[in-house]
Amino acid sequence: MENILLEMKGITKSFPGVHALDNFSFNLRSGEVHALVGENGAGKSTLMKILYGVYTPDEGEILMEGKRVTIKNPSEALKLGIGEVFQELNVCLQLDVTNNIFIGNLKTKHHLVDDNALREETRKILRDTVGMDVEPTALVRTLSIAQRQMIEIAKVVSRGGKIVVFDEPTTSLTKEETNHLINIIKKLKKQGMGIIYITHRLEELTILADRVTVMRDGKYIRTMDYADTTNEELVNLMVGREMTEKYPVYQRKIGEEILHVKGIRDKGNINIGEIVVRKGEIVGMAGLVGAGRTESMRILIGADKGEVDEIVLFGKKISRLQNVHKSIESGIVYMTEDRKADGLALPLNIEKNISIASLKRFSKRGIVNAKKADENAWEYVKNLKIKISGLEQEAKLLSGGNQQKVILAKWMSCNPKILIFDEPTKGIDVGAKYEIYKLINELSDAGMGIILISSDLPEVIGMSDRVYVYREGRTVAELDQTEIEASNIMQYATGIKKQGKG
Amino acid sequence: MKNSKLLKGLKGSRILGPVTILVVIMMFLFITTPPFRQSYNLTSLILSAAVYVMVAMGASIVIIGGGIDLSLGSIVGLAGAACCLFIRMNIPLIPSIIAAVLVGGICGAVNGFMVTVMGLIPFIATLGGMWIYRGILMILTNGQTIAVRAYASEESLNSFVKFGSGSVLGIPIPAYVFAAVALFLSFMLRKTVFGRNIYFLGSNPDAASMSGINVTKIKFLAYVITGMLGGLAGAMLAGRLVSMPTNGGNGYEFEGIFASVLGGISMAGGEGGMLGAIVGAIIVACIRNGLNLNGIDAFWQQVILGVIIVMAVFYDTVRTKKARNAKS
Repeated sequence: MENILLEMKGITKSFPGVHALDNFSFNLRSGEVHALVGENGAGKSTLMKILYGVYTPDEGEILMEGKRVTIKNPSEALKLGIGEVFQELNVCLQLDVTNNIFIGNLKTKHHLVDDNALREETRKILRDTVGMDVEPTALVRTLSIAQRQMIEIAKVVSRGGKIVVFDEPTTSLTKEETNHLINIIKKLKKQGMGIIYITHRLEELTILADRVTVMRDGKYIRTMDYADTTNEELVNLMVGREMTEKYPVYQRKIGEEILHVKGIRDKGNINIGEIVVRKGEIVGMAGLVGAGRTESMRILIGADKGEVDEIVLFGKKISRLQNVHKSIESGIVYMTEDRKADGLALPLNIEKNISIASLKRFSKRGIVNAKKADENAWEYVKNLKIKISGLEQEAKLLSGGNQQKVILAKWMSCNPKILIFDEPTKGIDVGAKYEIYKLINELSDAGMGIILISSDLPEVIGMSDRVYVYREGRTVAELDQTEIEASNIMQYATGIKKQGKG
Repeated sequence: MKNSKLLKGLKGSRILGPVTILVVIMMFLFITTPPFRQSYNLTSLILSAAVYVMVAMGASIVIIGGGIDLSLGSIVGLAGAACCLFIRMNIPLIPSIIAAVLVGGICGAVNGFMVTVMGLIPFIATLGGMWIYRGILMILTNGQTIAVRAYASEESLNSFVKFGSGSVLGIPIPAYVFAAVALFLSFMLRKTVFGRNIYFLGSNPDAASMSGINVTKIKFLAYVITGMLGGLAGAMLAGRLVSMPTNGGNGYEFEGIFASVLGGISMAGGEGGMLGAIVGAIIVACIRNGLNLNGIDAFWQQVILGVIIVMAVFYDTVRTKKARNAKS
């Protein structure tokens, strides 16, 4: 038989009120990419944290090359040759590339840190492992997200581990960068390392995975050779039911133009053209990471500095929205990309999170009418089918999909006319995605204009009536229903194709 | 080529701003305030700066490690009083100083314990420490200033006075002490794994712990070292005053934090170095000295220093924001 590198047997872990892992078993061979798939909350991250010594399992055992081990902290995991590239990057922004590569692993000469040698080695590690060429003394905060991730990968790989875990490594990478990462992983595999690969993007498995294990609700469902399965089957196993349609079929009623923006610019490289949104229309915004979609929308709503040439809202010319408050008042709301960073007040309860932007509606002379706010919150909890134990529950305890619904409820409470969604389904599992899509459709049905920023190409294609494609801060194409097609969008987004706009 | 690299390095470094401010202030005082030029003033400036520098270096080590120590002023007072008591018992100078440093170290260990084992927020933990240590000082001294002069033997007294304000080769002894400690600390922070780990801790504690660094240990030791520096500062202050009032060192924690911020040490942690703390502390000493020489009322001094610290933090905030936006 093949060489079993790692075995996790009967792992059980509960947190107060949650059974995160239930008698879960898993094994990894050397020289294979073993994909671990499951919806959010299925227990993938918990399992990996147990492997890395962040959590201790309540029950079960871990065997490395047949020997029983206990991993009490990350330091012990590293010693055993287990490395993890986490979904949420663990870099030190204020420090340079060299220090980030050697964090926790500083090599010394005569007990002293030898910076020159480390810098030399950094250059070599970056070249050999991730094929990247940046100055070892560059501060990490000056690097792009993708570059930071490459540094994380180089760090983990350079420790010479036997096992490397990748947890959603491609969430913030462009297509090109993803391909690059895939090549790196293939190389590691050839060197005999065991790779555990966690992802939501099943299409990546096609070129990578040797075996795949499906987990659901903390339970082991099945392990298969990837060649013997299909992504459709995997999705069905993940959600535990047949998923025939990824995007709800919908007949939209598009009405008159409600928003018309002539152009948005800033001092940097943002200089995008006209944006038109009609009543009941979903307008997609496609482009690579860093194409300027989020940036331009933030300028539009007054969150960031920049210039906006003429805004026409419901046929009336309005002045530049000076701040988010003004923008909400005029009916334009923006759902931020990062739920945790600027979408939710995580330690606050659900009612407060829903009422935060519309407190005026529930208050008189500055005094909040708690009953009214509660009623409003309940109404949305019911309508959006948000799964909570009560309005007093803290927002941070909800799953990604439910958190996103809470944010949606917050903005719905402001009675918006234009809703801008920025990556509304990022990091949300398949089932919850479908529900969010349905809600977006219902909003369009109610006559709202919707702007949908998404890096998930199938999502843009499946949802939009019209798509603007951006590249390096400029509008490069406007595609109507008939032209919305993956290869078309990608060619514009990457600059292969240019639209001859008069 | 090499020249432009050096220029670039200086431009990017955080020390250029503080040094410029220091030079400007010194030139301003030199021109406008005649007594500032006197050699006796220079000595007194160095003497007060030496204590500030010690406190500032202590404050900045925990700040670089992502924490804060509000109990430093009380540690200075308690350790200084302890030092006076030992001298009064005619214990030789060096053991007395070491004892003061140990007293500081113990206070630091208590802070470290509260922050790591008990998991308290540094701000609150050390605020508690600030009261506890000051309280112990009050109990120990019965609320009285600990004078040394009338109690210690001639020999002990002389060595203590010499340590506090004597000179060797025309340079005050405290200046040698702070120079030696500064060199040591700077070396430790820049060249040892422990020092580097303090930066990792301050920059991103999660990343540090996920990379196998024993975060608890580093954090604890950072507080201990800060406490020890507070202890040494206490001994130096006591030597200069040849006594320790019960409010000795009161408010020094803010002078230390103030100096750190002026010296380009980010309150967010992970950035800055000892040179910054030193320059910052000398700026504080110069401002205080200049205000005194110009006969500015002590109450107004508070207001002026308060305004300056707000400006310094504001500058730090703007700079951090700029750096964050300057992503390529």
